[in-house]
Amino acid sequence: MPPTRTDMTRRRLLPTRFGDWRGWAGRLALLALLWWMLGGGEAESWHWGVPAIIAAALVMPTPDLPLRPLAWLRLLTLALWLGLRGAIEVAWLACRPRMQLDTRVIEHRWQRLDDTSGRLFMATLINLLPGTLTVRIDSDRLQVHVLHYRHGIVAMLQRLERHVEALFGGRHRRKESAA
Amino acid sequence: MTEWHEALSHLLIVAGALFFLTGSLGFIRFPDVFTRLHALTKADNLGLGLLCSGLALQAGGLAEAAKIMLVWLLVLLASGIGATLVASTADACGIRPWQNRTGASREARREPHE
Repeated sequence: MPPTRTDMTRRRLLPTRFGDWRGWAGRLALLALLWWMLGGGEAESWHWGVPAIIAAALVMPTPDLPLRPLAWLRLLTLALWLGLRGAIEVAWLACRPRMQLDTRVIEHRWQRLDDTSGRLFMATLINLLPGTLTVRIDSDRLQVHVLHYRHGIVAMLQRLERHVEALFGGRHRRKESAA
Repeated sequence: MTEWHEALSHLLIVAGALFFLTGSLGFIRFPDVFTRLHALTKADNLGLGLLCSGLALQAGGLAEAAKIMLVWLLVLLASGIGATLVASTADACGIRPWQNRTGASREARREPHE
């Protein structure tokens, strides 16, 4: 008999494997950290906080995001550095007395990422990086608006895709692990 | 709070306000919706980051400072997602990106992937 919707929901909610326990621990830790921030670290706030955290952990969707601290650290460092450069570039372009923009729409073909969450994450991240803005997400490519074109942009997008692949996995990673 | 802390906090807040100012200037001066989104998602986000960092230095405790930085993180997420939504809607409505018609930037601007 095929599993019913209730069975599938129960399977998702109740931890049955080690991986699920790790997911639960991660969610509870994340929600506890959020509560600690919102509650200002006051001890009394945990009377309401603990039931709220457990309830939220039960109903929140399970993100399909592997825990890879080093990959996250590398990506965050890169994103912060590129974000700083992007802001300085925009500030410079906006303040120049004679505004000269070389705007273009370029296409970035997906080379490594093949799952939706990784692609959406990269499309969002692109908006915070120097001079790039996601215009359209297609199944085979990404259309990116460039504020002031320079040659390093394509290489930057490819580099970014490699970093996002290290977080989410992709066709190259799967081939490597299968080999 | 030491004098150094206070001076650094003020410096970060002023730098943040300056980035906000340049972001607003870009919003007024840039020619179309796509270029204006660049101004809002980059200069303003760094401005808010610097502002939040300056305020976090003045916070009463670690949890309060973390809460201020959480505001920045949430705004980063919202502006990243929002920018894609606005740009893709503009594209779907047929709004073409502005192109510079002078000098070396005259040719078509849709570049294939290299």
